[in-house]
Amino acid sequence: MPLSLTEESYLSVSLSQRPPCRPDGRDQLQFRPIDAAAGILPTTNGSARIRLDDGGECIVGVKAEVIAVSRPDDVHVEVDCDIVGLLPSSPLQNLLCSTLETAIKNSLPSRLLRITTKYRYKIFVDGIILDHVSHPLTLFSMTTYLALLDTRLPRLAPDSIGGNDNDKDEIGIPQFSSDWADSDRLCMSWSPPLVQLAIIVGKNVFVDATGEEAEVSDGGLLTVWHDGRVVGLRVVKTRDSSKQVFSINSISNAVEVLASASRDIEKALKEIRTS
Amino acid sequence: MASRIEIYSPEGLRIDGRRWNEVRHFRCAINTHPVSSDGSSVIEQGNTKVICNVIGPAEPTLRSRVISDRVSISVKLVVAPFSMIERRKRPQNDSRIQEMCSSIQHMFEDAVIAHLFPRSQIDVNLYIVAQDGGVLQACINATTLALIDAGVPMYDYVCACTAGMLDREVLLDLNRIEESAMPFLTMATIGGTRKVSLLQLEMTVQFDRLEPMMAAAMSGCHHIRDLMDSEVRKHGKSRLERGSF
Repeated sequence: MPLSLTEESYLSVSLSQRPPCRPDGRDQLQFRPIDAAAGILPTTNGSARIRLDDGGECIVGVKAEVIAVSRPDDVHVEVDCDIVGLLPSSPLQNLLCSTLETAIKNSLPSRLLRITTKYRYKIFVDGIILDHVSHPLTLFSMTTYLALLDTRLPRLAPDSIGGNDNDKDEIGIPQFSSDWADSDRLCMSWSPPLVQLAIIVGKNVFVDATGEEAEVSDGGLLTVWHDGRVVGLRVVKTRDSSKQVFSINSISNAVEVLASASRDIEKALKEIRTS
Repeated sequence: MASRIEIYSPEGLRIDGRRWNEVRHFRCAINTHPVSSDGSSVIEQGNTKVICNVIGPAEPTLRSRVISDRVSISVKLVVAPFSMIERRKRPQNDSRIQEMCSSIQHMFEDAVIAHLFPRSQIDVNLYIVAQDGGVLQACINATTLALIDAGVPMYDYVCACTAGMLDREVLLDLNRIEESAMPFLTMATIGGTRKVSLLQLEMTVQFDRLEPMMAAAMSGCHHIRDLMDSEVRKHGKSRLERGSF
């Protein structure tokens, strides 16, 4: 439901004053509670579900396929998501998929997907966003992160591996171990990228914005967090008529805020996976 | 597939160890998504898992959806690409999905007491997150539970079950491997009665074998009705005790 003029001005004044006052009394850096679970779907290599306080929910399943490749160094990852209520290939869906896909492709070392010289794993990350009230990017990224943490790839069957590495590469079609426990975690040495979105209102930056807060924002900024630092940055439109003009200060402020938020979220999500 | 795997052993055991008249493990929960919808449910039948959200009865978003003397129901079905062993992305306008949607919609238009909500709409959203046979039956059962949770008055539970025929043996509640090996039908009944509200059979089967299949499916429906009813009562009781409505 669109905000009335009075509501809009009330919200934008309270969000842009210093210190800001959010409608739900949260801190600028505070997230709403989330309900998360990993490893929920037996037909996938890795899966996760996250539900937000406002009813937003996302389920992500990661599946691996064996493909024959000609160029060995390519990383084959496909990210796809289905936002219920929106048509396929809507701008929002494109933003979500392309951001995540680029982030994963750029950070995932190709050796992790190697099976033999000729064969590689191709990773499919598929998400369904069952419902969203606020911007679904953070939700989708967190769920994907958790699902990738949960992902296991089967090892080659012991009897199909010959005495040395050359023999192993000669084998035509790889044979996998039939024991599901005989598998490697994808994220043993690699940690997936985490995309976070913040909205900017005046000089203030807010994480995990509700739908109403995004309605009065000047715009949004997303950062890609990987390996303890911010590796990517992009300005996002958070509403139809946003100005998308920010000062350098507010952008650097937003990057700092998002970096510290991403660090905390990464820690929290890793705890969910291990618990 | 059928030649390599013994679908039904001479001792009367199926590939997953069930007898002919046993349904798969059945787990259901209602009011699972209280924030985002008016009624919601999750159903697991074996390895098939379906989530259902119901929004409404509410004022129609489009004027074209208004029916002056009864409620209009629309069903949307999303099949997750990761729901099967092989990843497969289905387009939203896939003909099988459309067909399932319309059969669920027509069935529930008769099963809910539609004249109590004129000029309003009910949106049913179904998400298939894992499938291992019996997708239509799981969708129907999930929709029933979600409609109950939403407080939509219905004549009785609508329960669905599949039954197949292997040679002369009837098998109840098939999984995916069994579905590919034999002709099967999906049947939905109104509660514990003998009223059939849906019967779907897409393969050829001898006419005299249809009746035992239908009888088995009907007993399966009645069994599933009891399972769903006990869950609904359990949920209602726990809400009464908590004092939250």
